[in-house]
Parts: sequence; structure tokens; C-alpha cells
Amino acid sequence: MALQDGLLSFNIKETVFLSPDKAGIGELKELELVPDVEVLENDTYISITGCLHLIGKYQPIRETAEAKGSGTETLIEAMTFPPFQRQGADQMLFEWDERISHRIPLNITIPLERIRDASDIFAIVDSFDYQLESPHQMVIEAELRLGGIQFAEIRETQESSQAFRATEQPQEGELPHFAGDWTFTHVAGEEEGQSASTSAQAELEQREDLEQEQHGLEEALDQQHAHEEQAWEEQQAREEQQAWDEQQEWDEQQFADEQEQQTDWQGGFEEVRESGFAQQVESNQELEGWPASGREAESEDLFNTPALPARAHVEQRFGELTEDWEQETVSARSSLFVREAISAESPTSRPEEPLTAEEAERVVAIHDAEPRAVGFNAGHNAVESSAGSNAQQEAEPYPHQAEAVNDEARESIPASAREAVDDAVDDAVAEAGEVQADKSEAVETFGEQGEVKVSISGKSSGAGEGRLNITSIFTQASKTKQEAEEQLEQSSSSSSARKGAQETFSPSTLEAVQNLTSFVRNREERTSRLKLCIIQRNETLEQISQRYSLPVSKLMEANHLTSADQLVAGQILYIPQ
Amino acid sequence: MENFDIYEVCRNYRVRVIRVTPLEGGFLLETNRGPKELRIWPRIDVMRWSFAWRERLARQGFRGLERFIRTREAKPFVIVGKQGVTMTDHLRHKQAIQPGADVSFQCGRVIAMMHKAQQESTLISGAEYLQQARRASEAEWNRAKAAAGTYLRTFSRESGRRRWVGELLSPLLQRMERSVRLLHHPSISPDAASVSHRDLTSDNWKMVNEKLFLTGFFQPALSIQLRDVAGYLREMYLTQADIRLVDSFLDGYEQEKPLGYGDYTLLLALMARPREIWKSVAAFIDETAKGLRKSTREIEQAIDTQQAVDVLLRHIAERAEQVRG
Repeated sequence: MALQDGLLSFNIKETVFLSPDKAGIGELKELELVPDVEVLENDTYISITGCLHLIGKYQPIRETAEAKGSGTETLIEAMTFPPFQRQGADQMLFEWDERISHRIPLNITIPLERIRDASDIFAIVDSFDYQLESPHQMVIEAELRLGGIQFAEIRETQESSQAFRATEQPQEGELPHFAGDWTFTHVAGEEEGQSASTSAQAELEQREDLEQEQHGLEEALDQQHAHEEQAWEEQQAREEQQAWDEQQEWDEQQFADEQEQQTDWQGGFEEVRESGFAQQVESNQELEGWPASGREAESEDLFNTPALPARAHVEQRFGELTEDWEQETVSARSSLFVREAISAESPTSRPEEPLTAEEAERVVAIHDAEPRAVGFNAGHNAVESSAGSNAQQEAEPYPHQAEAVNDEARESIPASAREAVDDAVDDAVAEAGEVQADKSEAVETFGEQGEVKVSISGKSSGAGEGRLNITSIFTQASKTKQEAEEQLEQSSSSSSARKGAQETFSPSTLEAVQNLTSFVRNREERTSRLKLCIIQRNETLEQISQRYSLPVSKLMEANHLTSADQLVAGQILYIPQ
Repeated sequence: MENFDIYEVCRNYRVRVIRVTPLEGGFLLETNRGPKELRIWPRIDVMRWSFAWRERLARQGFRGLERFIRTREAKPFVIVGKQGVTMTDHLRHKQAIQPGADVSFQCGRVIAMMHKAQQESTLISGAEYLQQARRASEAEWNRAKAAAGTYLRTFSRESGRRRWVGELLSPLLQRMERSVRLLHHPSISPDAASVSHRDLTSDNWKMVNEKLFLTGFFQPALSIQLRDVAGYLREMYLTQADIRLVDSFLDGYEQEKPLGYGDYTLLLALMARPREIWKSVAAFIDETAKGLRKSTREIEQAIDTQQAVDVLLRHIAERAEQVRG
């Protein structure tokens, strides 16, 4: 994922297999990727759900004639012919133009604070390309861009983060555009579905473990240190070969900075991997101790987890959440942040609902274990101060300040911990964002936080499956503490309901889980189509322009052609819409 | 056919002509020795060859065929200019055969005997006819490909009937290509190729005095052996729709002359060519190219025919594999 020209950009890579009963692709005629989405809005977020519809026509390959005409086959094979189809038959064996139709489920959740108006949201498919691996296998690549989302604050946050970082660690690489402000998790692969389906149960178990292991925090702290150090070193070596290691380093810096300032728990930035629906990253977090999902999700999970002894729990939960992350990425981040988290304590404001002593202890433990989040939010919180005004009034000083855990930490930890336990991957991330927003509100310098969840799946099944294939989650805190408490109550009261919500994740079910009373309404979003035309033999630009009712000049301009003679058979021509 | 004096020719046979009735490729003569058929052969070599295999077939024991009557000089034919003239008896009480396994078996057996008789003659080279068949098949395939390419380029974006006809071209070309390739199959040896009359139809079989009688074969069109069988089996299956008759015919044939894998390959290669469909589709393409509207009824009928032929092809192929296996 990247931010380009004010648009959120997601790289999509999908491998499409034709069913064996369909004729193989001999020559592609047309191919287009059309966003087919709808915008669902409630009082907290806007969900963009639907799919990317891949539509195409192709000329089937004449493999039957070629394969059986060598003269070396048996006469039975030689005398096996495709039948002549009668006129008006439903299915032609060799149609001139076979059709391709494939849907890539899509689910993107954006906090309402990030959107001025739902009608502003639009999706664009750009840079669409394809590659034929075989007559029955095709790889498509495209870039999905989302517009209508406010990023001004993000940029401000980024600038402030960069400025702050520059003072602390000027040698670090460039900060991603919305580093520190957005956290997302990119999950790819089909196995993810299994893990996601069990994530709720795992979270419940982890919550129980959390309570049980509070007493062993100090002992586990030493072990955690050792593990983290080792994992961090290993990961550092691998990070050098990763494209996004700079951000990790930056995260480290941010962590250190925030550790000093003890700001808040805002999640940092992680670069969205395109996953390509292919890389199945097992939860290597067991070794690394850090989730592969987005940082806010990670921070939530970490918050729920006892700092040191709860390492195993954290690993398990993150494994469920982040199967599609690369191991290196996960481990690197986890090692980085957990390592420093041990000593980290961040100030936090007390929510309206006071914590119990047990919760407070848990908070301390979790906070110690996961100080990573502190580093990421330093920059944004200052930017997002607009939403923080209300929260500050609601915030109360934490009664157990004497316990060497600042208010912010305590406040954020229990809330996020509950949410992480209660919710599935997406839910957990969303809630974490909300809770963190409250915390940040308590601190005047911190602004609002929102969350954006992205789920792009190559599966054609339901949304629950879809979000497991590729899920990009980047969160911002935007909810109030009360909402977080409601979610906590609901989740703790009904674990089965939580499971159901995880398994059949959708905007509506998410609302049910969160006990939201807002309505859902559809709004038409603006979409744009990108059409491709594959130049056939002896085809001219004039013919194509007539076919699509476009002037030749426009075609030439869209395809950077200087003359009409540049057309070559097989060339891809972008048809502007 | 050159003009010649029938009475002068008949004087060589010592018959007195009472009445002459024109026939296709000859005359029906009412003579003082009964009805006779006077056949005119444009090719004298074919006439000599035909006389040879008839006599050999009679010597093999099958006398139910039309034999050339000798002249008073004991010659089986009269040469007039560049053409030959033969005289045979005209059988008034010929009856059509009733299809059945036994008759089919006998037919196959007789045809095998005929092929053997023809094979013994060295007057006409079978290898030349095999090469001719290969060239003709390939040329037709190339013509079909060119026509199909032109049609698809011109009418590729059409809909309805034109689109449907275009969709037929691919399986059509596939069959033609298969036929060409099988004709070049290494199991088909040009040295073993022999010549026979091109066409063998149900009209060549009659029942005379409750005996099977082989008639006709006065046309000069020749081809490699088994083309006649291919055509005959195709016709028989299309009219009778009984695959057992095909098996009976082949059983009878193999009783006299075993068929090897190369023979079956040649038989299938000659049978696989989608003649009806190509003919109708070619006509449609021609009419469409001229901007005329032609019905697709013939094509649809040809498709029906081809579907039955496909079954026959498959059956014979299975039989051939049993021979090889």
C-alpha cells in the first residue's frame, strides 16, 4: 500500500486459473478490471465492500487439434473429434471469444473521521496488467486507488514525526507517507482462513492466560528480553534484504523517541505488502513475539498479553491474525518492539471507567511487554488533536499512578486487551483504534485516530474468506472510551457471538458485535474503469477508436503513442474511460 | 464420347441389333441374342484392367458379376479410335439386396476378392493413386484453411448464422487435418497400395436368382483400394444405422483379405474427411462472400450426417486397435 497523489494505493496481484472444462487462452481479446463495490456507512466507519470484477474475452487455444494430430497416437484418439455444434446450441466447443469472469472480493473499512462525505469516496483501478503463465493460468496485477479520504492530517503527522525523528535519529531512512498514523496488516493466502476462524477462540484463551500469567511478569521479563534480543538480531540481518526495512528502523527510532516522551499508544506505520495472495506466512510470531498484522492490531494484541510470560500467548494470537505476513517482517518488528517494550512505559489518561486492581496489574504487564506502540504514534497524535478534545474531558486520572505505570499506559492497555481478546482480526484492529483514540484524546497533543481495514481476497467466497486472503489493516483511534467499554462488555459476555462475528465478518456483523445502533446505508461511490485492448493482427488505431467511440488522439495520448504506426500485434492498449 | 457406328461394332459380336436405348456411359441393346449392354471406355487401360480383375474374380470362384462378351475374334473388347467398347449381358431380373448381416458379410468377402484380383494386376500403379490421394487431401485442407481464415477475418464480429458457421470451421479443419496426417501415416506403404474403382455403392449389389451379384464398375474413375470400402461403409451406416452390418462386412472382407493396421489407418483417413459439411460450409462461405444470403439447412443436415460418421469412425478405430493389440 502506498499513498500517491492523495490516493490510497493498493497493489493487487491475483492468479486466475481457468476451470479445466474451459478452453485454454490462446489469444486475449479484452481484459478489464472493474470495481464493483458499494459503500456502507454507519456512525463510526465506512465500509467499502464488493469486489473487483475481472472481465475479459479471449480466443481459445486449438490445443485439441495440435495435440492429437501427430500421427503417433492410436486410431481411437485420432478419431476422437469435438462434435459440431448445432445452431443455437448453448455451449460452443470453440467459441470465437471465450469469456473470463472472476471476482476478487474487497472489503475496506475507513473510520468516519477520515471522510468528509461518503460520496467523496471513489475507487480507481490503475496500472492494470496481465501475464499468461499457461493457457489456463493468468496472473493479473493492478493498482487499486481509493480517493476521498482525508490525508492532510496524516501528512502533518508525518512531518511532525519526521521532524521529531530527525532530532533523535537523523540517520534513519525516509518515513512512509503516513507512518505512525496508519497501521495495517496485510494477510494473504488461503490458509489464513483457518487461522482467522480460530482467532477468536485463541484470543479468549489468551485472555485467560493473560490473567493467569500476570503473576509471572517479572520472571518472564528476563526471558522476554533474551528472546527479543536474539530475534531482533536475526531479523535485522534479514531486514537488510527487505524493501521496507527502513521503516522498521524508523519504528525503532520512533519507539525510542516515544519512550522518552512517553506519549501515547498510537500504532505506527508498516508498509503494506502486496502479498500477491501467495505468500503464506505462518505465525512465526511464536519465535518472534510480534504479530504480523498491522501495528495497531499488534499493539492491541500485545496490550492484551502479559509482557514477558505471555509471550507464547502473543505469538499464538498474532499467528492467527497475521498468517500472511512474511516471517521476517513479523519477527523483525516483534523483536524490535518487544525488546524495547520491556522497559517502556507510556503515560496514559484514565478513562471514565476506573480499572480494577487486577486490571491495573494486567495493564502494567501488557504495557511493559508491548511498548512498541508508543513509538509509532508520536507524530500523529499531535496532528489529530481535533478529536481529542472530547476525550480529554472524559478521561480521568488513573487511580494507580503509584504503580509506576503511567495513566496512558494503563488506560490503553486494558481496553485494547479486552478488545483484542474479544474480536477477530478486523474487529480487534478496529476496536484497538477506537480505544487508542480515547487515550490520545486524553493527551492534548494527540489527535483523533481512525482505522482503515482493507481486505482484498482472491477468493470468490464470502467476505469472511475474502478478508483472509489479503487483509490490510491500518488503524487510527477514533472511538470513544464508552464504545470500547461496550465492546468489551459484549465480547466478554458472549464469546460465541464473537466467534460468529469473526467467522462471518462483514460490516453488519461487526456492528452487531460492537452493539452499535447506527444504521447502515448504501451510497454510490464513484468508480472508474480501466479497459485494456490487445491489439490484433492488422488492427489499426482507427479501428480501435471506432470500436470504443474514442478519438484517435485520445488513445494516443493515453498510451503515450507518437504515431499510429507504433501498434504491434499483441500490444496492450489502454482505453481511457 | 466419340461417335461410332453401333451396328458396325455389334457386327464384331455377331449380334443383330433390334433396338438401341441410350444409357449413361453406354447403350442398352435389344438384339437377337437378348438384351445386351454396350459400354464405352474412355480409357483403354482401365478397360483392360477391368477385364483382368473380372476374369480373375471369376476364376476365384465368384461368377456373379458382369463379364465382357468376347467378339468373334475372341477379344473381350473392341477399340474404336481412342476408346474401348465392351458388351455385357443385361440382366432383366435383378433385385435389390435386403440388408442383413449375412449379405453384408458376403459383400465384404466379394469385395476382398475383387481387391485381391485387382491387386494382381500391374497395369495401373497403386502408389501413384496414393500420392494423388494425399495431394488432393492436402490441397483441399489448404483451401479450407484459406477460406476459413478469410471468412473469420471478414466476419469475425458477425453474429447469428454467420458466427455459427464460423464456429464450425475449427472442428471442420481439425477433421481435414487429421485425414491428411493419417494419409501420411508411416503404416501406409505406397508399395502395398493397389487400385480399385473409386466408388462402391449399394447399387453395385443385386440379387439375381437369389444369388449375390456384383454389377457396375464401368466408370473410369479409379482410386486406391479401401476408398471404395470407406465410401460403402459410410453409406451403409448412414442408411441402415446398424453398426453390426459394418462389422459383418469387415469380417467378410477379412476372411478373404486380412486388414492390417495400415489398411485400417488408410480406411479411416479416407473416411474421416467431412465431405458433406465442407461442401455445405464452402457453399455458404462463397455465397456470404458474394453478399448473398444462403440457408444453413444443408449445413445442419451435414452435421447430422457427420455425427453418425463420427460414431462409425470411432467404432472402426476401436476395431483397428484390436487388430494391432
